[in-house]
Amino acid sequence: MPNDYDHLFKLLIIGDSGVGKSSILLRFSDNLFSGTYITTIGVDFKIRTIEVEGEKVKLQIWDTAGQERFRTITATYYRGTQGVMVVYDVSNLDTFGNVRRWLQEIEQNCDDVVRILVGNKCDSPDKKVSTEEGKALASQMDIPFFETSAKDNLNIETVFDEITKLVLAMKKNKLAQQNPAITSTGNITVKKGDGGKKKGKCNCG
Amino acid sequence: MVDFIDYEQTEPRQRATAVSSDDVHIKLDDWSVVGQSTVHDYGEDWVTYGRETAVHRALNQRKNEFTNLQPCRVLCVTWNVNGQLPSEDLDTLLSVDDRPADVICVGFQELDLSPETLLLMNDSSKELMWMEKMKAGLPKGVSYKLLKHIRLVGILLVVYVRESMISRVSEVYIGSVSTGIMGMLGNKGGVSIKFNIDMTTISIVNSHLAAHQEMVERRNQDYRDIFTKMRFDNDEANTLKNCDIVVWIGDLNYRVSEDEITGEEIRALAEKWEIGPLLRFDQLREQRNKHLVFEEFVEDTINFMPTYKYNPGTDKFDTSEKCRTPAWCDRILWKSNTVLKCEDYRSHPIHKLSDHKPVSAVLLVQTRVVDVQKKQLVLDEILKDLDRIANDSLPQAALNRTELNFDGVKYLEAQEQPITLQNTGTDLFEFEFIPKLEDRSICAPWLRIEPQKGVVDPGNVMIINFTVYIDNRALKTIGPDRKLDEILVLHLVNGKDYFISVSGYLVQTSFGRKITDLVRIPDPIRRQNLLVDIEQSPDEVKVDEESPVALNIPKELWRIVDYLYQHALFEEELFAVRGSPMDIGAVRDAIDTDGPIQVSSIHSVAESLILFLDSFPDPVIPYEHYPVCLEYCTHFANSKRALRNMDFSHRNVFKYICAFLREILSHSERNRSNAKFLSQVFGDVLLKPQLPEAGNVAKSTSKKRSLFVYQFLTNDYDE
Ligand SMILES: Nc1nc2c(ncn2[C@@H]2O[C@H](COP(=O)(O)OP(=O)(O)O)[C@@H](O)[C@H]2O)c(=O)[nH]1
Ligand SMILES: [Mg+2]
Repeated sequence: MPNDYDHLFKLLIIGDSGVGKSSILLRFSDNLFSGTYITTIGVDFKIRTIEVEGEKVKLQIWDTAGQERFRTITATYYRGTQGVMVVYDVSNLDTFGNVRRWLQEIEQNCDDVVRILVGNKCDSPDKKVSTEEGKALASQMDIPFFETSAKDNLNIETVFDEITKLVLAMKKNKLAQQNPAITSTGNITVKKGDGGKKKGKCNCG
Repeated sequence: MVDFIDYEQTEPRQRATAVSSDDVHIKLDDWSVVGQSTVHDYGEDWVTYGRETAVHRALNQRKNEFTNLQPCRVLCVTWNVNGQLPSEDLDTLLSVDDRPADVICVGFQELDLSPETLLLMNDSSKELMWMEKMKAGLPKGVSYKLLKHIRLVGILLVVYVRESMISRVSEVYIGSVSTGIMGMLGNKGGVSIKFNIDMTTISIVNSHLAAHQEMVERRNQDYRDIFTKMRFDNDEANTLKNCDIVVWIGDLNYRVSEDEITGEEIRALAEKWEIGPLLRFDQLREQRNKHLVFEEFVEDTINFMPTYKYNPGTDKFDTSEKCRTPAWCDRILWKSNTVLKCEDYRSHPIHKLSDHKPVSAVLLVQTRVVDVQKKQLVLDEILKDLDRIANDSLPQAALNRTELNFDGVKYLEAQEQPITLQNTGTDLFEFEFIPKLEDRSICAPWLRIEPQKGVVDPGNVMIINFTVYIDNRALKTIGPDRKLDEILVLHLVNGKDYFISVSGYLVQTSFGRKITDLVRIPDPIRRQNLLVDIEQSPDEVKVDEESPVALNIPKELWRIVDYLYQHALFEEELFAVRGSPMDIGAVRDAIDTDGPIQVSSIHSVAESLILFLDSFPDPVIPYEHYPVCLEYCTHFANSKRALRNMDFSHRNVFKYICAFLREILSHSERNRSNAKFLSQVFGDVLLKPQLPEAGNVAKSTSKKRSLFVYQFLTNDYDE
C-alpha cells in the first residue's frame, strides 16, 4: 500500500521502570490510562499515524522493559531507531538521576538519533524534580525537554509531535546532504568539513 | 390517483440511494473520492483497499460531521421561444420573486431556427440579443455575474450567479449531447453546465427532446442518451451521475396522451382549466410512474395550464391547421442527495411571443460547506481509529507467568515447568524463541524449551515446557556459584517480544568439580538433608587451597569403585549396559552426602562411574598432557613418562581406575570382559581433547586414546 504514509519512523521509549513509559504510549495510541501498574516484561510496540507539516507519518513506537536486568537485551531494540524518548518520573528523584545513564545507553547503541527528555507524572502533587532542574539537564545535554502527564493527558500529543518533527527534519537534512541539489531553499549546499551542519551557498550556477 | 411524489417521502429514499449506489462522490479539498460500488465499514476497507481508500470513505461517511449545509436559492427557467426575437422584456420572467435568487439558470429551446444555425452551428445573432435581454431582466438591486453559457444550435443554457457568492463557486464545466438525426444535428439534444457551490456539485441540464404525440419512447431514449452520454471537460469520469444535484429543464415534449381521450376533449378540459383530470394523461407522469424515464427525479405539483401550444401573441390554444393538442411540454425536474425544496413551480402566460409559455421553478438547495477545523478533528479521529484497528490486529497474547524459578536442581535430574501462552487476539499468531543479542542459540545448554515455535489460534492456549537438565556438557557452563540465570526472548511474529526469566541453582554435587578440589574436601560435599543446602549459601563447602592434606583420590570416586569392586567383579557386560536415571540419582546423592549406595541395578553404578569421570572440568589426563599421550599411545615407556609429569591427584585417579579395570579383566573368565572394549570406553572418558575435533580426526584420535589406555590395562604398572 504505497500511499499509506509519507514516512515511517521508529521511536523508542526508555527510562527506569515505573516512570510511565507504557502509560505514555497507551495514552498516545489508545487515549487510555490505567492506574494499575503492569510491568512491561519485554518490548511492545504500537503504531500511530499523525500528520506533521502536511505529511503523513506512521510512527512505530517501542516500549521497553525498564528493569536493570533486561538492559543488555533491550539494547538490541535500539537498532534502526530514529527517535528516543528518555522518560523520568518527576516524583522520583532516582529516576531523574538515572537519566544520564539512559542517555549513555543511547550513545552506545545509536548513531543518528533524535533524543528528547520527558519528565512524566507532572500531575503529581509530590513533585521531587522541579521543572527548572529538568530544563537545566536538557539544555546541558542539548536536547528538547517536556513535562507530561499520561494520567491527565498533558503534553502527550505535543511530545510525539515534537519528536516526529525533529526526526523529519533530521531525515530531510540528511537527504539534502546526500543530494545537495534539492534543498528547500533551492540553493546548492556544500557539505563542510565540520560535519556538514552548516550550509554554504555556492555561486557556481 | 398516483400523485406527485412529495418531498418528505422522497428524501430518505434519495439519501439511501446515495449511500448504496455509485453516486457517492465528494470532493474535500485534496481528498477526492472516486465512487465505489458499496460502502463498507471502514475497518474492513482498510484491509481490502488500503488505508488511503479507507480514510476517504470514512471521511465521506462522516461528512455530515464536518460540513454545514447552507441554503441557496436557485431560479430555473425554461422557454421554447420558437425562433422569435426577444421582443418582450424579461423582468416579468426573471424578477418576479420577492427574494432574488442566488443562482439563475435560463434554458431556451428553438432559440434560432434559421437554416444556417442548424447546419453551420455558427454564432447566433439571436443569442446575443436574448443574452442582452436576460441581463436587463435580472433582479434589480443584486449584482449577478454570468457564470457560463452554452448553446447547441437552438438550445441555449445560461447560468448567472450572485456576485457575492462567486468565490464559493468552482469547477465550472460545460457539456452537450446531440440526439437529433444521427446524433449529430443539434436541433434536439441537451446541454449542461456543471459547477460546485462549496462542496456540492450541481448540474443544470437544458434539453429539447423529440417532438410529436407518438414519440414517447424516442423522448425516453433521448433522456437516457443525454443522461448517460453527457461528459464534462472531456473527462470520461466526469458525468451527471457524480453530481449531488441535477436540475433538468427544457422542452421535454411529453404530451397529454390521446390514447384514452380525444384531442377535442383535452382541449375542452384545458380551456376549462381542468388541470387535475388532464394531468392524469400526462405522458411524462405516466412514463415516470412506470419508471421508464427520469428515475430518481422529482417534479413538483403542476398547478399551471398546459404551456403548449398557443397562438403566438395570445393566451389561446392553437387554432392553426395542425390544431395541436394542449400539453405540458415544458418541465423542470430535479434529483438531489441533500434536502431540496421547491418553493414555486409555475408558468408565465404573460409572455406571448412564442407558441410555448415559459416555465420556472424556485428551488431551495442545500450546499455543503466544509468546516476546516471540524474536518481536521474528524480526520484525526479516523486516523486514530484506523491505527487502533491496526494495533488491535497485532498479535495479542497472555502469558501466565514470565518468571520461572527452579530451586534445587540436581545433576542429571530433569525439572520441568510449563508456561501457558494464550492467544487473546482475534487472529492466529506465530511465536518463536529467538536468540538474544549476538547469541546463536536461544538459551543456555542446561535449558530445553518445547516447543520452540508454533502457531496459536485465537482463544487457544499453548503450553510451553521449560526443562532444566544438567548433564556434563551443561555442567561446564555453570559457574562455581552454581547459579542458573537465563533470559529468553519469546517473539510474536509481527508483534511484541516477551522476556522470560529462568533462574535457579544447582544443588551442590561432586559431579563437575575439579579433581584437585575434590581431593581437598574430606567431608561430604552436601548435607544429607537437601533443605539445609537450599537455605545455605551455595558455596557452603570451601576448598582449602593451601591445605597440604589431600586425599589420594576423590573419596566419591573411591566409593563408586569400591562398590563395583565388591558387587560387580563377576558381572557380565559391565560398562556396556546402561543404568537407570533413578539409580544414578541415588548414587549421586549417596556419594555427595556420604550415604549408602542403594541401587536396583549394578549397571547404574557402572554408568555413574563413567559420568563422574566424564564430568571433571579438566579430564583425568589433563588437557595439557593430552597431545603427548596421544603421541606415545603405543610407546609404553614414554606413556609412563608422560604420566609421571602430571598432577599428583590426576595421575592417582588414572592409576586407580586402571588398576580397577585390570582387576575386572583378571576375572574375565567369569565376567567375559575384554581389554579392548574397556580401553575403548575409558579412553574417551579419561582422555579428552580441549577443543572439539572434526569427525575424521576424532575417529583416529579415539583409536589412539583407547590404545593409550590399553597399555595400562594389559601391563602391570607401578611407579
Ligand atoms: N500520577 C501519575 N501516574 C502515572 C502517570 N503515568 C504513569 N503513572 C503510573 O505509574 C505507574 C507505572 O506506569 P507504567 O506506564 O507502567 O511505567 P513503565 O514501567 O515506565 O512502563 C502506573 O501505576 C501508572 O498508573 C502519570 O502521568 N501520572
Ligand atoms: Mg512499562
